[in-house]
Amino acid sequence: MSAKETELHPLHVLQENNEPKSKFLDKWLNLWLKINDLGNESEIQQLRAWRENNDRKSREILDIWLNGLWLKINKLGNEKYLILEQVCIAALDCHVLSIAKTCIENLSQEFPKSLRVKKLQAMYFEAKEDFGSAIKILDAIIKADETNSPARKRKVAILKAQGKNAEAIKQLTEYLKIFMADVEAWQELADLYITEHDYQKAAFCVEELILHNPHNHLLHQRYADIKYTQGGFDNLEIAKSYYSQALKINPKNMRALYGLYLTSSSLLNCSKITTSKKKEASKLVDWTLKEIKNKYAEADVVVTALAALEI
Amino acid sequence: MTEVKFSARAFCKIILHTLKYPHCAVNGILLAKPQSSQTKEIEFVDAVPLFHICINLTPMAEIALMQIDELASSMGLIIAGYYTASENLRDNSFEKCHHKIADKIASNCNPAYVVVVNNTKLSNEVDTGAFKVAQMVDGNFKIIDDNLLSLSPEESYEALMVLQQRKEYNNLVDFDNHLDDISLDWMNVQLNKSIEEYL
Amino acid sequence: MATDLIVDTQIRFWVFLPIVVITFLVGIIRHYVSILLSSQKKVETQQFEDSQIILRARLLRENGKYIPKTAFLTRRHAFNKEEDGYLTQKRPAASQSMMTDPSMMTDMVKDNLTNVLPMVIVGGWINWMFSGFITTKVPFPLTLRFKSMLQRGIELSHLDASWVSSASWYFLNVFGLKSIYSLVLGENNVFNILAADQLEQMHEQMSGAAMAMPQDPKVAFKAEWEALEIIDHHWSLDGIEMKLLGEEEKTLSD
Repeated sequence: MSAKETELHPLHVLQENNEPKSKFLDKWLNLWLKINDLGNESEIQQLRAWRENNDRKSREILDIWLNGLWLKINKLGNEKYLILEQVCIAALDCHVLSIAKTCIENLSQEFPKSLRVKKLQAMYFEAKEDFGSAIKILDAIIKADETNSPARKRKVAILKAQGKNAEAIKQLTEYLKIFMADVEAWQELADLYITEHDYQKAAFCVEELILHNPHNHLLHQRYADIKYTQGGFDNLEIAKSYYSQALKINPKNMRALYGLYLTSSSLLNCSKITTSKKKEASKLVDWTLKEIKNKYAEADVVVTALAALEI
Repeated sequence: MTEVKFSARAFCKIILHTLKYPHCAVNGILLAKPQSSQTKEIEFVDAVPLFHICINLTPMAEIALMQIDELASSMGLIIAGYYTASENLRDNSFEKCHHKIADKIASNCNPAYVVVVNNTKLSNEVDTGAFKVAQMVDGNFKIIDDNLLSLSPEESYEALMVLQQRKEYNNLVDFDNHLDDISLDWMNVQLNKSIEEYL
Repeated sequence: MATDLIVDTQIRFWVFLPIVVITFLVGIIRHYVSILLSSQKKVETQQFEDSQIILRARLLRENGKYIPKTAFLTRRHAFNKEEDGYLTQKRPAASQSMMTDPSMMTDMVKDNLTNVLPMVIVGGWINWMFSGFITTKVPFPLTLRFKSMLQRGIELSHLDASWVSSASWYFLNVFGLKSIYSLVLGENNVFNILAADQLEQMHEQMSGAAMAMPQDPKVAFKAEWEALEIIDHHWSLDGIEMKLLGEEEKTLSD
């Protein structure tokens, strides 16, 4: 906040500084315009877009905030609180606790009883690694509102932050017993299982995600990735099908294309494979290779990759 | 004990990779010049950042290794090491960061090295103190003492500071970025140039 | 018929306008009272869980074809197994009748308090205060059938149907001022949403689709169980590779 003090006392600076006055006045005029400028809609729209897409752009959000948004926060109407929350989370993400704290204070003045602000407080303690206080707040939230899923999820996140993956998984499965249709939680559980190398269970979670969102090619590709990682003839077969499905939904998915190539070529080497399947697999290998070459030709990258070789 | 040297490229790319994705686990490959097993020194000349999305799934890693191997051998380099930084701030042990890729590298190259970025040591002024290096010997880790790690040239960390300030990490391309958009170059020719510039 | 009625201007000031103002003010008061009385609707965990089970079972039924057969079968088993499946679990007979649930009762009372009661009381009072006035005239001729609607409280058989009585004017106001309320209270409404602890609710709306829950889970569970039982699993990815290849060949030959 030292910046604030110096900037808001132009007279002091003027007395001590030998720079020509006009230049200085210009600067202050600019600042004044900046403070009163509500025309800077694009920043606010950008923030809104990030908020809606759940983008993790913490550094950028903080930059926008420090770049003058904090001066005109009171002119934003009702969006003010949403932006404060967003900035608070971004600040926590970047570990700039002072900004997070001011945001939380602002919010809790406005909504003293809000559970959502309480959650932010818990996150603040979390960032300070004061997990005990965080859990205390979260438990209070859950007690006040049994169906408050964000608070429960934060508790899982705390376990994860402490490196207790096994307990996090346990808690998350408990959570999913109640909130069975929470896609985000299934996603997180899948990731946790993958980090613990429990691919069987990770596959189950991704299946669940596919049920919720059957036309998302990334999920099909992720499922195939897991199946391929598991290995074995049957899993490879499944991986092959899901890579194909991902490619069918989105022909531009390079991971699926590479994956299909890998699976079909390793299927060719399997002893279990039937002749008809073998024929199909070799066809797939040829086709994927051709496609991969096409894709690179289109993107014009073979050349740059070769350039990298020669340097 | 072996001395381990990091070139400016390798060093900067590893750190920039962790900076680009501070909330994800990242990993990558270290390239070195082939040398006889007698020499007591290894220098990693380059690093290839691999993944940040889901580092524990193998298919794309296989593709990446195939491609890197081909490129590296044409440049007269070998894949000699594996680096990783975990998602959790405090997970800095070799065991936690263990990965199939490392095993694979160890089976092809002896001795192979594993570099773990110590997340707690990352700051505005990073040097080799942020690395923990171990030799992989028969699936065990032989930890290399911090004193034996060095940068070549020594000023690399200054270059890194400049790169950090200019947010050059946004220009770093890892293999995941490449798979999202194949026109991006995972060898980071452009970034290499700017690293050299700031040296 | 030729000589038109002339309404005393006093009626405008003492009947016509007061009715508009009174209905408007009552509407506003009602709005704030309902905000005061509205209780945060608490969703029981159990109820929430039930709705999630139904949702998940429905998804399994609809999108089951996208996961491998074994995966589908294990899931169906989890839902439908004889004992303790998600859909077959025994439940203590929960509050089924509305009357036994006290929160249900208070909700209904509140609803009545804010909606029906003021209508009756204010309506009655206006009927008593301003009865028998002709207040205004609609600027177009109407058929006799409208007489009972527009001339409540005035039983004059030879009066033109386009005249409006005070009681009817009140009712016209009650129904017609809706859009004006939203105009006046519109911004305030948003303010109120934020002022109460509704930041939270906005968040919940995202998962809100699952909230709509039939009163008795047993019936819904039974229906879902049956639907799941009879469904046959056809893996939609069967032969997908050939389709992929075939399609490509087709596009190439084109």
